[in-house]
Amino acid sequence: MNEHVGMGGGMSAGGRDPESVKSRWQSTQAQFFGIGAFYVAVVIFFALTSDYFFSYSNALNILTNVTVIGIVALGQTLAIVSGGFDLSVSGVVPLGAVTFVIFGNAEMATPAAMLLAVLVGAAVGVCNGLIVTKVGINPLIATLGTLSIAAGLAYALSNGVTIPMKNIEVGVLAERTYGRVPYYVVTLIGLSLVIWFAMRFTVIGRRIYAIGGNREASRLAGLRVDEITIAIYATCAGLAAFAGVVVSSQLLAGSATVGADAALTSIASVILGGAALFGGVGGVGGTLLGVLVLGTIANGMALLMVPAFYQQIATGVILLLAVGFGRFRAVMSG
Amino acid sequence: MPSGSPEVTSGPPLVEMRDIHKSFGGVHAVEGVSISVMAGEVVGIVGHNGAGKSTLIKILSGAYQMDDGAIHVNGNPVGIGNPRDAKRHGIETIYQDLALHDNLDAVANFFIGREIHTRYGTLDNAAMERAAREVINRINPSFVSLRDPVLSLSGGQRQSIAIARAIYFNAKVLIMDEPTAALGQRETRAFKDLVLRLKSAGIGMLVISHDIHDVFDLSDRITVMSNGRQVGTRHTADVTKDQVLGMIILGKLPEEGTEEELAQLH
Ligand SMILES: Nc1ncnc2c1ncn2[C@@H]1O[C@H](COP(=O)(O)OP(=O)(O)OP(=O)(O)O)[C@@H](O)[C@H]1O
Ligand SMILES: [Mg+2]
Repeated sequence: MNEHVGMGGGMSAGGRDPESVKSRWQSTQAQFFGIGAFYVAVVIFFALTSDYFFSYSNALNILTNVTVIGIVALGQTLAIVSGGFDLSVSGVVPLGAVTFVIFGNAEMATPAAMLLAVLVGAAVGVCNGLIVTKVGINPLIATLGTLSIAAGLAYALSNGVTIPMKNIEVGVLAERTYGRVPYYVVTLIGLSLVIWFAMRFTVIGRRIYAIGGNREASRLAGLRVDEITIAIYATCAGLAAFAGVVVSSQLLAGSATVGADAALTSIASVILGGAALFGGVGGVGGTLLGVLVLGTIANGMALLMVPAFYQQIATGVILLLAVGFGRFRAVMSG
Repeated sequence: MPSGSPEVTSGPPLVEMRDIHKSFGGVHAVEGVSISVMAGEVVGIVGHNGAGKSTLIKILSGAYQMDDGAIHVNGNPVGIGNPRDAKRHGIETIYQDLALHDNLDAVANFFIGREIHTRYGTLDNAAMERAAREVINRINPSFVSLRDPVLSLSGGQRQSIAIARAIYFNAKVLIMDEPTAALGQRETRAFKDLVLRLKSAGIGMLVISHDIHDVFDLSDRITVMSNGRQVGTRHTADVTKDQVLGMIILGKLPEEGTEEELAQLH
């Protein structure tokens, strides 16, 4: 092993390896540890600069704030690892949020309303998958189109206004359990475990990595590449719709204005977590770390009274630095 | 039928491709080629770069769809619409580019699409590693890094994985597109032994190679292709290497070449 992981995205003294591809693989691993080290540095920095930061209740705040993006990022991990992208989550989160409240207000049982909202999202995902596989349109363009359609649908269904929940009980996910931990945080942890397990230990998980690594070789090996791709986009959008359900539970209302940052932040998290832009590499652990990094920085900056728009700038800078370091490593060792 | 095809002796061939045509846009990659393989027979396919060899075998392996022609397995016409169909008929392929997943390790590559799993759908990694190690080491005893992503492996090791996984799943017909291109001398020798063992087990093989010596060592019959056409098919015992080289270079059967053309070859 010629790895030496530095802070801030894994600068390393790689480069002795004659095979650049091997180094590229190692660099994504190193990026994972690099971002972990960076996270520790971020935590130490805010702990030193803010009295309140390093406390149980603030930890809960951070978890609460990252739940929605965390759920979206889990689906985005599937999409990116399989060699795709899903921008439509920015439209599906509000669509899920609005449909959930509409179904809930129609006297439907809460679990049924949740399920329907998720299915509406999954339907958008099936469309994404069909457009990407059968029509052959690049995922970025395909999901950019459906982003717009889903977001427009959310506005149309809500007439552009915020729909309050008639029955507060529908917002059950925001209720607290296990002390002060809301249900949706538990849900995020549960979903993470399920997807982590599926990606790491199951046949379907193995095939997702295979398709992302080499789509044509997967086809030649006899995998049902198109069907798996469609299922992945359906899962990704279903999760995004569920994230919308969580938002509505938190707000006790459905609004088409939520979740606009879902695509950017979820993709940033997945890439920060060490996933390769071209697919085949990445995972739930890295993604959650990426989500935590961005959420913690946003939280810490808020505590330090830094205006919100600077957080946006910080997110962009961190993403560019992380990806930049990854490329820098690849170039140095290649 | 192309002239010069030798008579097939007994029973229907394991596979037969009849009058296959395939174009890419305006490029006629394969034009009216017919080829067959008997049980325990090795058929070599030779020809210049771009002659259409890979295109021909990719139609049999389900990677491409032919424009026209017919495929018979054990004498029965079959449709091969995708790689799964080919595998179902016992046709396994070692592709020229190996078709490996660089991000996965040797074991995962070996079993991709046919993973050993528990009844809950979880991977049985231990069982897969045991099986893969056994087969890969038979082909390449020096192979150790079963758990590294295969992009870190040498060309010879990568080729060993592709060969091993093709023979593991009880193929009846093996297609090998440049199987020894990345192998060293020792590995090539081991590969030739392997082909002889497979032959005596009754497996039919289609072998594409640029190495005329390998083709003569391994093949019972040789098909020469040129510019998408079939120049001819000959029993290896009936031709010399020079005659086959002549067929490749001139695109004509030995008896069709003029004295001057043949003289130019030497
Ligand atoms: N997928 C494709 N799309 C377009 N053209 C193709 C494709 N595959 C092959 N061709 C063309 O078809 C012709 C035959 O190519 P093919 O790869 O079958 O030749 P080959 O005999 O295998 O050559 P080589 O010895 O270099 O492997 C070439 O002109 C090639 O450019
Ligand atoms: Mg070829």
